[in-house]
Formats: sequence, C-alpha cells, structure tokens
Amino acid sequence: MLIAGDATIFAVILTMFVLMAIGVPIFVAIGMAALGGLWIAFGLHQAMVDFTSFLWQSLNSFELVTIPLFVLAAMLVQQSNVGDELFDFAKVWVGATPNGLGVSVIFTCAIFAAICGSSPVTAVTIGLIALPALAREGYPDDQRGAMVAAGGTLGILLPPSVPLIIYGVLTQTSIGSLFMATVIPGLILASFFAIYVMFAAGRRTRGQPATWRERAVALRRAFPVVILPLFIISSIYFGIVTPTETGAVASIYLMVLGIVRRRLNAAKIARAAMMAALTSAMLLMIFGTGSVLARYTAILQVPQRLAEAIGGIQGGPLLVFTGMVVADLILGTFLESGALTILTIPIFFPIAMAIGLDPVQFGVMIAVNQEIAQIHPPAGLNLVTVASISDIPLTRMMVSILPYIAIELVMIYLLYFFPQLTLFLPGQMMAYH
Amino acid sequence: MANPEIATRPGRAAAIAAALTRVTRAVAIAAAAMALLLPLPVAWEVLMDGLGTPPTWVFETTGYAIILLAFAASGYGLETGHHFRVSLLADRVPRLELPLARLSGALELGFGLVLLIAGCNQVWTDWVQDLRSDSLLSVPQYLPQLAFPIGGLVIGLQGLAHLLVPPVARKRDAHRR
Repeated sequence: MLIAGDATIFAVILTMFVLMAIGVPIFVAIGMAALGGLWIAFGLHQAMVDFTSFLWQSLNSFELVTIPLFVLAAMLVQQSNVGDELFDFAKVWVGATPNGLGVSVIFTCAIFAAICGSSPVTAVTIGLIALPALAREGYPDDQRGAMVAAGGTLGILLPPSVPLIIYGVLTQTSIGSLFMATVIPGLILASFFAIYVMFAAGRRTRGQPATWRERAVALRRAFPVVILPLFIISSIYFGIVTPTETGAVASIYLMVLGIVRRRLNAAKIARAAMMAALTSAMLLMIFGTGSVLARYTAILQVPQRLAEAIGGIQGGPLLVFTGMVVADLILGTFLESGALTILTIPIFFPIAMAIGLDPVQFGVMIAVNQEIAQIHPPAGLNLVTVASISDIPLTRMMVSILPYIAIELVMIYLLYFFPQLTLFLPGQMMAYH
Repeated sequence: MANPEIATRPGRAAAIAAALTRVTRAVAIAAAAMALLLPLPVAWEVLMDGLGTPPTWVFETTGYAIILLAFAASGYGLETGHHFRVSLLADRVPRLELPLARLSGALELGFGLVLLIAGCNQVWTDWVQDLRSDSLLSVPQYLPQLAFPIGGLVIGLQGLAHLLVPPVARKRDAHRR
C-alpha cells in the first residue's frame, strides 16, 4: 500500500478536513494542520520557525502581485456598473438569435469574465442585471439561474484567471502562456454554452434584429470596456507587458475611465479597494498556508510516492486523468477554486507530468474542472451566489445546470485528446518572441 | 426577575467584541489603501522600462506590500465573511451552529497567537542577526516580516471577538429584534 503506516500524514489531512467541516476558515484549517504536522515531525520550536519561514518563501513572489491587481480591477469594474452597458451591447449584437436574450447573457458573461477573472463576481454583476430581464422575457427560473451560474464560470477560464495565476506560481509555469492557452478553450466553451442556450434551453424567443445604427451606438458606449480584454490578451501575446504589469495598467485604466464617465466616486473607489484587500487577503492566506502544507508533504515525499504509485496503475493515463478529474470535482463541491488549486496541485501536478501531460495543457484542464466545481450541485459556489442574489431557490437549478456540466466535461476531454487547443497560442507567442 | 449582572454580561461582551472589530477594521483600511496604491509603482515600472531605465525597487517593495496587505486584511476578513468557510455541518445540524461558531472563534484566536509568537520570534531573529535582502536595496528583513506579528495580532483579536460574540449569535439577536 502506498502510504500504509504513515499515520501522521493521514492524521494531518484528516485534521484539516475536520476543521474545515466544522466551519473554521479554510486558511486557519490548513495552517493549523500544517503546523501540527511540522510539530510532530520536528518539535514545536522548529515547527514555528519553519512555519513562518515557509510562509515567507511562498508569499515573497512578484508573480503573486498579479492577484491583488486583477482583484482590484474586478472590484472597480463591479463598482463602475459597466455590466448594464455590456449587456446592452450584447443584446444589440446577438439578441436576434434564437433565445437571443439568453445568448446575450452568455456573451456578456464571457466579456465580463475576460476583464475581471472571477467567477462569483461575474455571476453577481451580470446576474443582478440579467436575471430580472430574463424573467420579464418569460424564461423559467431554473433556466435563467443556470444560464447565469454557468456563464459566470467563464471567469475562471478566460484570462485573467486567478486560479491560473496561483497554478502558474505553484508549478513555475509561465502565467502569460497559461493566459494565452485559455483563449481558444474559453471561446469554444462560451460558444458551446451559447449554442445550447439557442437550441435547447428555455423557451424559444427571438428578438428584433437591431439596425446598424443601434449597433454602432451600443458599440460606442461599450467600447472603452470591451477593448480591455483585447488589450489584456494582445499585450501579453506580443510581450509588451507581463501579466502583473497588465493588471496594474488595467486597474489604473478602469479607475480613470470610471472617474471620467462619473461612474466612480471616492466612496465607490474606497469600497472597491477594501473589497480588493479582503479578497486578496483570503486568496493569499490560503496560498501561503497551503504552500506550507505542500512543503510539509513534499518533505515526506508524499507527491512523489503518490505519482509513482499511480503511474503503476493498470488502465493507462486516461484512467489516471479521470481519477484526478473526479477527485477535483468532489473536493470542488465544497472548496473555493483558489483553495482547491492550492490543495490539489502539489499532489496532482507530479502525477500529470508522470502521465505525459504538458504543464500548460494540464493547467487549463484543471481550470475547466474547477468551473464545473463552481456549478456542481448541491453547493457549487456560483449556484449559491445566484440563489443569494435572486428569488430562485438553489434546488430549482440542480437539474437545469446538468447540461452545462456535461458541456464542460466534454470540453475537458477535448483538451485531453487535442492538446493543440491549449498549446497552439502559447507556441505562436513563443515563436513571435 | 432577571439577574441584572447576567443581563449586562452579554452587552459587555458585545461592546468588547465591537471594539476589537474596530481595531481590525482600522488595520484593514490601511491594507485597502495599500491595495489602491499598488498599481502605481508597477505602472511606473512599465513606464520607466519603456524609457530604458527600469527602477530596481519595484519588484522587491511590491512583493513585500502584498504580504503586508494579506496579513493586515486577514483579521477583518474573518468578520466580513471574506475568508471562505464550509458551513455544511452547521447547516445540517442547526443546534450545533452556535457551539461550532465559538469553537471556530477559539481556533482563530489560537492561530492568531501562534502567528504572533512565531512572527515575533522571526522578527527578533532577523533584527539580532541583521538579516538583509540580497538585492540592491538591502532591506532589513525584520521590517517586511513585521507582517507576521501584525497579522497574528489582528487574526487573534478578531478570533477573540468571535469567541465572545459569535457572528451567528449576532444574527439571531438581530432576527429576534
């Protein structure tokens, strides 16, 4: 047996999950478990020295500056109320398709996600605007809730994605390459969602086609915001700035834009800054304590031993990969996506390398898997978020969300069998440089 | 007739908890200011890099800033609910909600104390040994590592506030009123 007899590791992991289950904040649960493990291994004094030392080493990284910068950009976007402009833009441009309003929701989510990089923020911002509009058009509760919850998950995949930043730092993979690698899968996934909404979800309605004049007006209004995802992607692709620098430029741009257009005032900026600080603190503390736990398991060679043991399993890489997908889905049902990345990647990454996956390809597949976890019944974060901002009970969405989960599962295996979907753009980027 | 001493005790605990939360909020406001200023040095670096004279201080100082930001905002984040928790057990067994919230408060306090003690130890060691970063700035390491005791203090204080008055009890009181 792989780690038979190693009761300490089992006890440490079990302690962490017990603490989480009783409602202790996740970073405290991980931190306490890691400290306990170090205490057992090295004694209390050395454990405390190692704890702060490992915490410092993991957090002292310039790449991590990307997280608060993009979180600040997301909060500024949210406070600027640009969601309604984007939604109007989407309605005018794609509203004449079958179930046009639903397609507009997916389209809006995709653009917004490519600015803010957060799945629940996308679901809240677009949900508050789109859910009442969908209700007025007669979309059933379960369908409109599922659309927003699923559309919101694009925030994890499309750049700038916070879990992918964490993945990049943890695995020493280029964050720029990871961002580039998500563009094609993100667009395919958004298209799959839109096609499903067009032909299968909800009632069949079709909006009046907009005139070119109306389209031009909507484009002019939304242009300063719509241009941002293009700036983020192209500036990284052409190597003009690094992802961290993109985050800084995007934040300043959004702040200036909000002030010039009178969408932001001092109170709103202060609120955005506070929300950014609190959200970043949550992510960075989970990253820090998770890294200490990862170091502890690395000292005991757990990931290597797991990778060796799993490498010997009959059934080949596909079975091993499916095992990781299932484990990630189960854990993702009750863990935040950042926490999920930090806890699972130190274990999964060596296994993925052992079965021959590319680090960039694996990162994108993990991001899609985490999208599923965000909408996975019974308590996927986006489902809970949509239920909390609307009058739609969580239970109503549990069936209508399943087709979106199926689409994302198909996407994961497409990425597995066709690595070029993820590796093409990073390859082109490298060639360009 | 109710014992007046018993009647005032929860009020006193609530007042102490509110005062502790005010402290953690004040520290979080400093972290928010840091979050707001963070894009400026990075954008400055982009500009100067473009002009061919990249500044040497941005990488190091922004790295320290986010560590301080993370620890400084963590205490108040426990109060606002930004720190993710799993509430499955409390949701399934409502009578356990209050004791679990108190237990969580105690563990937050314990974690804060550990971080405070370990952080002070780390800062003291750096101070005594005059440890500095191996960069051009040669920053004394005890300065950025003050983030540990500051974080430990605010997490501990907020944990104590939750131990005295668990957020669940506050919600119930508000509901009753």
